[in-house]
Amino acid sequence: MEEPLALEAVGVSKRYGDREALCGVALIARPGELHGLLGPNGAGKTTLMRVLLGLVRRDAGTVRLLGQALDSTASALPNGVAGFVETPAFYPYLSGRRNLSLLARLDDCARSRQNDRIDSALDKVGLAAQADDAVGGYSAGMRQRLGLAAVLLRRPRLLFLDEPTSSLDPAGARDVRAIARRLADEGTAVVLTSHDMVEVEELCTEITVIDRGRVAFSGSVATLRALAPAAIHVLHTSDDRAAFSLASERRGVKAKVSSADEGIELTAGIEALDAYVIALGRAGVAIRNLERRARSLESLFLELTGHDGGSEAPATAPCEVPDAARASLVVS
Amino acid sequence: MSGPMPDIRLRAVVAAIALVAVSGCGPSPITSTRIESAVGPTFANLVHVQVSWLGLEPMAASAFAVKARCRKLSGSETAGAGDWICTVAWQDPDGRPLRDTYDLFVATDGCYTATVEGDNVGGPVLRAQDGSDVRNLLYTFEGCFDTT
Amino acid sequence: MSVRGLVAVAGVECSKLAAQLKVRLLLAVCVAGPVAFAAAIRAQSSVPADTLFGRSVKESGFAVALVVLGFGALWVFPVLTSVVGGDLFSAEDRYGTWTTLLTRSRSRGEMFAGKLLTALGFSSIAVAAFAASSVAAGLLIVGPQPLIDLSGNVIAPATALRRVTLAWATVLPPAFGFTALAVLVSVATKNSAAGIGLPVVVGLTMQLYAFVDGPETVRRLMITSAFGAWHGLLAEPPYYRPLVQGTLVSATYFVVCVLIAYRVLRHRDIGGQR
Repeated sequence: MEEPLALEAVGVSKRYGDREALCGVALIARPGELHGLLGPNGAGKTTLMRVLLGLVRRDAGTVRLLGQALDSTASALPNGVAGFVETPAFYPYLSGRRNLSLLARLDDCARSRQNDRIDSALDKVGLAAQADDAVGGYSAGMRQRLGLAAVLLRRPRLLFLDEPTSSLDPAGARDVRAIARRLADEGTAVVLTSHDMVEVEELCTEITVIDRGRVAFSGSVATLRALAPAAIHVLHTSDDRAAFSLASERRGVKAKVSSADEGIELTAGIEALDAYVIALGRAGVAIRNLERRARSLESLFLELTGHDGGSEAPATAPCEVPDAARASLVVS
Repeated sequence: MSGPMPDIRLRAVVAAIALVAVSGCGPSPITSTRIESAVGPTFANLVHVQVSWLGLEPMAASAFAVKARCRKLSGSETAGAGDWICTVAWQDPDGRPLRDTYDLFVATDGCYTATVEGDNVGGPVLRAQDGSDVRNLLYTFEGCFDTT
Repeated sequence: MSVRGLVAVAGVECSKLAAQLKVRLLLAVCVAGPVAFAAAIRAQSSVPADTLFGRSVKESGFAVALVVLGFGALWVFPVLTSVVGGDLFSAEDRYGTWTTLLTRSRSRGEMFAGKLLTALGFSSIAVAAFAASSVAAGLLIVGPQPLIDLSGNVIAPATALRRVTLAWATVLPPAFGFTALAVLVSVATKNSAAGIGLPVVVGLTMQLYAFVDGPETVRRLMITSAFGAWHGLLAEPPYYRPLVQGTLVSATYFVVCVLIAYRVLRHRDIGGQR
C-alpha cells in the first residue's frame, strides 16, 4: 500500500496577460522527501510556490496538499502545511517574538502552548538572543531565520522554502540545511527552491527543473547524475590548432572553440581527458592552462534549461498534460 | 461569500433606496408652510421661557397667540433654501398685539437662524426683575424642521 | 469562515493597533479635544454663534456636547473613521506581509472580516470617546443646566442627557459607512494615503453640497446627510424620518463597499506578477 503523497500538483498553469508563467507543471513530493525545485531566474519557481501556497490563483490543474484539494485562494492553508516565498516580511515595529506570537494566534495555537513553541522555534533558527529586538533592525539574514521560525511554528508536514539560504552566511546556510534534513528525517516533505546546484545536489533526493514555466526534468538526483554529461574543461595550449585537430581525432573527446577566450572547450570523461593530455604532450603541444569550467550537473542544468548557448529555446506547445504523464510521475 | 443575496432581500433594499431617492423628487421641501409651522411654535415657546428668565408672571406659550407668515426673499421663488422673511404676529403678556419681522436664513437641511429686524423685542441682552442680565432669546433664535 | 477564526484575526489586528503610536494619539485627541473646547468656552466671552446650539454653550453643558457633535460631523468623523480603516489593509501591502498572513490557518474571508471588525470597533470607540468626553466636559466645566431644544422648549437635565446620548449614537451608521468606504479604497488602491485621504475628500465634497440648493434627491443619497439626522431628536415633536433614511443610505454604502472590497481581496494574486 503506497504512502499517501504529501504534495500532488498536476497540470498547473498560470498566465499573466499574454505571458505563460507556468504551463502544465507537475510536482510530486512524498513524506520525508527533500525535493529541490531548480530553475533560472524568471523560470516560474516562485510563481509555482505561490500557487501551491494558495496565494495565486491557477488557471488550470489540480493541487492536493496533504491529501486535501486546494480549491481556491479563499480557503485557509491546511494545518500542517507551511512555507514562505521570497524574503519573509514581518511588522518592523514589533519584536521578532511579538511577530511570532501574532502568527501563532492566527494558527489557533492555544495560548498555553504558544510560548513554548515560539521559544523552541527561535532556538532552532538561532534567533533567541535577538528575539526581543524590533524586526525593523534585523538584517536580511535574521529576517530569513525569523521566516523559518514562523514556518516551524506550524509543525509542518509539508514545507515550502523559497531560497531559504540566499541571505545567510555559510554557517547559517549550513544550519538551515540541517534543519531541513532533520525535518525530512521526521517525515516532513520539504520542497525547496534554489539557484544553487551544489546545495540542491547535497541536500535533495528528488529534483524538478523548471524552465520558462515548464518542467524540463523531474526525477531523483541519481537519475540526473546518470544523465549528466562529462565536465567541461577549457584548454589553452601553445598550439591550439594542433590541439583542436588532435581532439577531433580522438573518441570520447568533444572539442569546440570557446567563443569567450579563444581556448578550446573540451567535453570528455576523466579517462578520455587524461589520455588526451598525454597525447598532447607526445605531439609536442604544451598545456598552458586546463580549467574545469562547469560541474557536471550544472552543465546538465544549463543544457536542460537551454541556457548553455547551444540549444534553441524550446518551442512553446499548448499547455496540456495528458493523463498518462500524471500516472508516470506518481509511479517513478 | 456564498452565492448571491436572496433575491427578495436585495429587491427590498433596492426598492427602499429608490424610495429615498424618489422622495426627493419634485420641488424643494423648504416651503413657507413648513417654515411657518416651525417658526411660530418655536417663537411662542421662547417667549414663554424668556418670561420665566425675566422673572415675570409665567404664561403658557399658547397665550401669546403666535402666528407666523413667511415668504422667500427673492420674489420669484416660493420654496427653497436661502433668505426668507417672516412676520410674527403675537400679543405680549399684557395682551397688546405685536408684530415682529425676522430675517431667516434656511439651510438645505431644514435648519434656520432667525434674527429680528428692529428693536421691538429689545437688544441681545435684557435685564431681569432681579437685576441680572439674561440673553434675549427672541433676538436671534434657531431651529430645525423635517424636510423629508 | 468561523467565528473563532474571525475573532482570532480581530484580536491580532487590535494588538497591532494598540502598538501603534498614531492610534493612541488619535484616541487621546478624541478625549482631550472636547475638554479643551469646553475650557475655552468657559474662559472666553464669545460663543460659536454659527453652529446649532452655539449660542447656548455658556448656559448648558449639554449644548457643549451638541456643538462638538455638529463640528464633528463637518470635520472630524470622516477623518476619524478612515484613519484605521483606510490603513488596515494597505499596511500589509506597505510592509509586504500579505504572504506572511495568508500562509497561516485563516481563510481570506476570515482575514477580511476580522480586519473590518477591527476598523469598525475603532470607529465605535473613537466616536464613543469623543461623545463621552464632550458630554463629561460640558457637564463638568459648564454645568448640567436645562437645555433649550430646537423648538424653543426647555428640557430637564435627565431628559437632555438621554437625548444628547441618542444624538451621538445616530452618528454611528454613517461613521460605519465611511469606514467601509475607507476599507474599499485601502483594498483597491493598496495605498494608505488614498485610503485615508479619499474618504475625507469625499466627505468634504459632500458637505459642500449642503451649501448648494441642488436637487433634494442627491442630498438624501449622500452619506453625510446622515450626520445631521440627530436634529429631529432635539425638536418637539421629534421627527425621525431623516434618521431612518440616513441609516438606510449608510447601510447601503456599507454593504456595497464591503462586498466590492471583499471580492477584490478574494480574487487578488498575492505577490503576482514579476
